[in-house]
Amino acid sequence: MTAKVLHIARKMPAARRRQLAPNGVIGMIIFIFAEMMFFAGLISAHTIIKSGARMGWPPAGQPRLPVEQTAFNTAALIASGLALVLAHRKFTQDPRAARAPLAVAMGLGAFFVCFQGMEWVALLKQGLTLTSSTHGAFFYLIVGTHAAHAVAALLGLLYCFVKLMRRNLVLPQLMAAEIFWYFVVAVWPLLYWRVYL
Amino acid sequence: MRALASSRALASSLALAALTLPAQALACPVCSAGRDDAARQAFFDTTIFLSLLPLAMFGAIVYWLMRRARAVESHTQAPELLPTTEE
Repeated sequence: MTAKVLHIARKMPAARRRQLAPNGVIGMIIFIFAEMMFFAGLISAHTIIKSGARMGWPPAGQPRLPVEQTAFNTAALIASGLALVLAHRKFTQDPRAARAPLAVAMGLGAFFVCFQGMEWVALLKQGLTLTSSTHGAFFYLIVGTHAAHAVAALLGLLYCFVKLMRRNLVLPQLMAAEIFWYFVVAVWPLLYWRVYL
Repeated sequence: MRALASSRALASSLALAALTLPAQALACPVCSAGRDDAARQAFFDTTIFLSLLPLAMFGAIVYWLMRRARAVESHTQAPELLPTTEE
């Protein structure tokens, strides 16, 4: 009887301990949750300040943001996300086939960051700085924070790409980097809507 | 004892008055809540947004884990019974 009980006790934890998702993926999801709340706080603060602006928004004398050019850049970022979805699918079938779509995703992501940098240089020349107005302060804070995340996520993708070339990339690593990049892609349209439009 | 009871009654009355007049109680010295409709609406919207976002996130992760658990269960065969020493 005792042996029977021990047998059941030994068997049950093994069945319950089956891993549902890789640790790296769960860790990245928890990190992304924290980042989502961070961006939600920034967007909320921006919304409140914008709604309380008595002199209009953007304030008089401040340059207008390049809405059309950034819409094009947004499309490039979304295309980058789609290329990464394709890379994931290819990786599960044949890892070598994922090289091209992963490179495209990284290239489009790098284009987005470079385009944003050029936009910043142009706006700084026009007089929109971190201290010129609350409009400038929020613009550089929110868009700059997103750019920092984009660079970090790109580095994650680059790490995966190097491992893929060396043929020692495993799916959980790619998935963790993917989740980070999807977050960067998904949060941007919301920021564009709130900050640019 | 009587003084304590009257001060409690006064405190309760003041708290009740503050609750019934929220628009007049601009407790936050730096925010502009209650100044105009747009600001009031923005505070309302962002409060809803910040309150529901974590709930939505936790709901999504729980739903995803439940789906994963179901998928793992359906793809895994029932484990073989371990050999027992006694029947």
